[in-house]
Amino acid sequence: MESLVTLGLSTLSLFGFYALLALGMGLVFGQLGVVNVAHGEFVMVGAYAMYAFDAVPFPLRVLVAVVLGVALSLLTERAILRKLYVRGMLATLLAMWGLAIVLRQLAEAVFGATPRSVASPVQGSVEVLGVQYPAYRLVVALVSLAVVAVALIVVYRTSLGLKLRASIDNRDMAAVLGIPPRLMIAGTFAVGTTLAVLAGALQSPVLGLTPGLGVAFLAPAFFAVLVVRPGSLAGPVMGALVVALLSSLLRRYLTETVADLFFFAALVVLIAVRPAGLSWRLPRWSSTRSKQPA
Amino acid sequence: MIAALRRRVGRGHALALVGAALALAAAPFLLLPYPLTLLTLALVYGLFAFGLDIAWGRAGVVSIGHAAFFGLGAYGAAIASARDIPVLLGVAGGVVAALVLALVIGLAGLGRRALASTMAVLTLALTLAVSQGARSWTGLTNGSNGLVVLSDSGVVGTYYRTAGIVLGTVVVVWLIVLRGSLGRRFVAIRLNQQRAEHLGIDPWRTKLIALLISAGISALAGAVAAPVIGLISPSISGIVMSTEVLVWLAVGGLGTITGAFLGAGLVTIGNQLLGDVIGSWYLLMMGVLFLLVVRFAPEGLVGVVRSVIRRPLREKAAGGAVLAGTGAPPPDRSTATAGGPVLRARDVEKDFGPVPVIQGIDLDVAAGEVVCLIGPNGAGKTTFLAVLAGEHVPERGRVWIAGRDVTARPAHERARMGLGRMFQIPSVFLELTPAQNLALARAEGVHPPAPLALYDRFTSTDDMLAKDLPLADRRALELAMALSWGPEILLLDEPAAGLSHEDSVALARTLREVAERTGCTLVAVEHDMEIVRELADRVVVLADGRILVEGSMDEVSAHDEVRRAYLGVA
Amino acid sequence: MVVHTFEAAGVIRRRRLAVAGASALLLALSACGGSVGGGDSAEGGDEQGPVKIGMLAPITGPAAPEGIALQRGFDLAIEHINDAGGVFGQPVEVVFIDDQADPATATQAAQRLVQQEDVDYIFGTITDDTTIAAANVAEQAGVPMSQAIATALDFCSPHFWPFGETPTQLLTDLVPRMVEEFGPNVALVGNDYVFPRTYHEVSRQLIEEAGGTVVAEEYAPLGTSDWQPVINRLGSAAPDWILSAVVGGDAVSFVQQADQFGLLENRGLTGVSVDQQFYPALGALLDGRNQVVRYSDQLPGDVNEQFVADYRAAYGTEDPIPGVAGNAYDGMRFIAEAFEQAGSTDADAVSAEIAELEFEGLGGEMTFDPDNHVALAPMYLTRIDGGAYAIEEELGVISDDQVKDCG
Repeated sequence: MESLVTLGLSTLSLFGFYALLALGMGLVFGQLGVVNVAHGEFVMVGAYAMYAFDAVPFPLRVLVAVVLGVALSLLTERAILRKLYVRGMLATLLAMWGLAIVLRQLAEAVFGATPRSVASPVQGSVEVLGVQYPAYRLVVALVSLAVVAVALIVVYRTSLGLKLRASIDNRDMAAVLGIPPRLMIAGTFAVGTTLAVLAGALQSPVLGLTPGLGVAFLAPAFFAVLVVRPGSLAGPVMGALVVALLSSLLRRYLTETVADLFFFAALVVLIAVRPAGLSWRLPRWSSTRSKQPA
Repeated sequence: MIAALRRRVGRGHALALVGAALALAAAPFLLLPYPLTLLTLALVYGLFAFGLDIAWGRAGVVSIGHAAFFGLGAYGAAIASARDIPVLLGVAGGVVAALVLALVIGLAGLGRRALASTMAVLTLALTLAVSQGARSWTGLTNGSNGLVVLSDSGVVGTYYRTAGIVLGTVVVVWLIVLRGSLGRRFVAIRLNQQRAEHLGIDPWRTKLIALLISAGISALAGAVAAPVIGLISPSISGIVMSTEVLVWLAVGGLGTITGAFLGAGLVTIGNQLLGDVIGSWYLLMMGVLFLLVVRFAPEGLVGVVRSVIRRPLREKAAGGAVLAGTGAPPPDRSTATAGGPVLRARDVEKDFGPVPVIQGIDLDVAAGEVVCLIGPNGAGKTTFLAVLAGEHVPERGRVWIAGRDVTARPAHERARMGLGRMFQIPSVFLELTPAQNLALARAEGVHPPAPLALYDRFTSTDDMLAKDLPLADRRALELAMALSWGPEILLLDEPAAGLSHEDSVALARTLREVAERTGCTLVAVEHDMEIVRELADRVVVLADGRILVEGSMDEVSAHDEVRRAYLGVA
Repeated sequence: MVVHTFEAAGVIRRRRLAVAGASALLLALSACGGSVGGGDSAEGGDEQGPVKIGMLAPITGPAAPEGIALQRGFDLAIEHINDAGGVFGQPVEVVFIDDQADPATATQAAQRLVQQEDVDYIFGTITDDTTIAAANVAEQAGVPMSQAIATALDFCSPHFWPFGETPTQLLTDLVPRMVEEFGPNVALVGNDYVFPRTYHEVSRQLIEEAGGTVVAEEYAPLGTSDWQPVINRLGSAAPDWILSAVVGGDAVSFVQQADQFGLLENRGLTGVSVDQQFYPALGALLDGRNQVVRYSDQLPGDVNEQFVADYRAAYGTEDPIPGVAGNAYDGMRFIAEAFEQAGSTDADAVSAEIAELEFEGLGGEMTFDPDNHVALAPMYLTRIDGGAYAIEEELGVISDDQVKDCG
């Protein structure tokens, strides 16, 4: 029982982090067709922002990081991406790769290569169903999931979200409907990457800060986005849950290294079985299938 | 044999080859030992980039984890040298391992239902898994401390061996793959997969072959690199190496041999130079430079050079592939059957989600017959055509071509049986010239007829791209491609849309004439009643996903329900 | 191509101008002599020429913190050597190359050092794979080489003289003391690569000799950011203290998360993860803990005081000076002394001198075990206190009888 609670809690805290990452990456991928390989570096920017403005109270510092993230992503979109969309996925992927190098090296130039840390604003632990768990992790997981929930509500329940979904489905059609695509694109990129910055800011007290810190987050975020049928914005969040659950389950029962290998192997199998991504509308999917000639 | 070689190797190529061989042979006499080792490294990295280019640049197969293959080759050589196994055996083992992994990844990620992004995830997982495996399987790989590979042939010997293998591999792959029918098919599926399929090219198989060749070359590059690198450790197959090779290709120029080697060489040598000059800032500089290249020179340095020396448009468009066929008569795949219908559909149903579009259509088309499908918008004409062509799998019902059940067969297999296809929006290779479009179609032809004089204007148009043609010409080009490809059955979706009245009538006459001359069966969706009258042996009227009535034009137009449902007459 | 010369009076390093460096390389690339048939101009006549040292350090990439510390200690040593008149009465020349912690780059760099720069000695690299890669090139070219960071290398050659501490030296006194202070149940944790695994092989043996038990042993890949499962498993084994060989940014993540999960409450923690370079990030979490080191900036003596003062002045840092910087400083001065004693740059003569030399380092007399080439110098037990790794006890020289084939 106790180990089950522990497993649940560690999955929850991973899920909160990955959901923020994957939602941001999924937005950028779905809307712009950009594989943001610099996503992890935006996490790094968020974490270092928390380190740099040490004097500012923690919640306010998160806000500062977010503002910084918005500015950085708008600049990126404007200076690098805007002219590259038409050249397809490879061009934008490479551009973001270049940006990742630049961000890492800038961080190294400004903060040095020595690991840094950020003090946690919430100390101590709380008891959850008989298990002691760090209070800060719980707070962060809940805050992250709340942000994700708000984002999803905006996407699915507001007219802004409708426009967003419309322009994901068909950019030309959206333009006809009077949605300025350029604003929409810049806005989506800003929101998507700022979510990564926010994730980095929130996670900073549990991380060792180094300029290369973001590299490790690219793969799980990427998997979360792509393991579920793309196109829907809730998909990446579900994907994050799959990745978090798979990762904490494997690492619960196997050594870390073997768990890593199994994690990748499981992904390959998952994709081989469901090359178009997991579908969350299984009932309908299977009913259309059954109609096929035998 | 000689003739085939002539077709593939131009005088320019021979000169370039001799030049490259001479330059490579002379390098040790001009360069000091250290620059020579740097050049050796640049050459193997160039081969690696060339390998990736086969998949990404030529066939459009995404891979962001190619270092996995490179690393397998390198480990093959390293393990052999550490355990006193013959090196060739180790190299072969590494290459085979790479091919097996590529096959597994390709079968999973290049299937019909797979998305383009699927390959990205799979290859990323692959590179992470292989490098983690190398780190963990310490008994075989010595873990993070790696395996030492000593080169016993000295700087110059290592250089000559490396240069020989690199040059040989590139020449062989270029001659057999890139200049052969595979190279042509790579171009076709990269530029327009839909059209390629309907020319009978299997896109998945072609991509899988591209991935296999690419993985094999990359593994070979890794094996050759092992003694040059000196120590093989898990980072050799890691994510950094995987992305570095992308950078080389992007900087040099995708889809060109020169680009792969130029990119790898410049970055490898530039790394050293910049590192010397600006110290630890050079990585930042590299990042910025790289961003500038991607942003302002999307076709890489080769693209920049090309825009200066202005080569003919057609050379750039073909990307080094020979688009024309051998001219030899292809094997006869005649689908003609004695008597029975050449095309047959029974009880076909197709839904889009909850919306039923086709609700049970039966149709038989005899050989040589010209059938027109008409009906109001939303009647399901285009969808039915797509079901016949193999683009949509019907929910129920069966389709036969020449007596063979093809219901579960993909489009390219139906094309191989002689089923040609024209689309409502013309589907041609926009990035090729009209002459190249025609040449490619003939080269892939089932049994191409003698060239029609009618299309001389396309065969002679070799100085502009198809995308610059007006819509009507593009449609004519598509028809020209379909006909010179030599179909048994041709499916046409509104061939006269967007044409002037005179042109439409002329087109209808041409089609009629072709059908009569070649015995080709035509199934056309058409709105223009005058054309239908000109063309059709039989008219089939669809409404609400069902056949309302069929018969000659006169019979059909006399039918009350048709007048009501379609012609709008009360 | 950057040959920075440290002039007698100057403290400032000089790099040649960008243009000069670039054009020099071009010249070298197209020099009239080729690899084939070109006469080796270095034959003979360089007996008493200036000593030229090739320096490899990863100042970019994942090992950059250690690489930069290595470079700093080394640079100060060169500066001080040249201030004192250099070797053979001439300033020592240095060619520096960044190996990026990448074996392929390290191999190339080492080849350049021996083939083009014609160096007399190679110093450096941090990660063991790059060290082996460079050492193989050096070995083939008959150029002696040293590294300076704690290591579990099993590589050896007649001309390879590593200054790094071995796990045995770091752990022999630490383990029994920790068992005595905290208890017999020990949890081992580390990143999953060769050094931590070898480190823990040694520690397991020492723990058992001290009457303790290893209750958990966990390894996670480099770059692990989420340590929950590891911490859970360590916690459920209820150890008395934790010996951690988690390195780099991971060390900070691990210790921080272990603290947040309450794993460190009333438990001991030591190992590589409490080294000086992690203090700026971990601070209070390390205070009061013990660590065995060869170098600490708290060592007594004028030479160390001068070194610390110069280090802080040159690099503007108040953080604890990493052990690798001290090792590099001592190591380079040791080598310079060996050159001076040998009276030539001949590899065999220099190696013979290194094998016998008794050198007064920052922490005491430093020698090499002539059989397995392990550097021997006094070790110190320190207690971490507000950023100072304060000396509690001198432990004397700890020998390491590992068998290596250095012939």
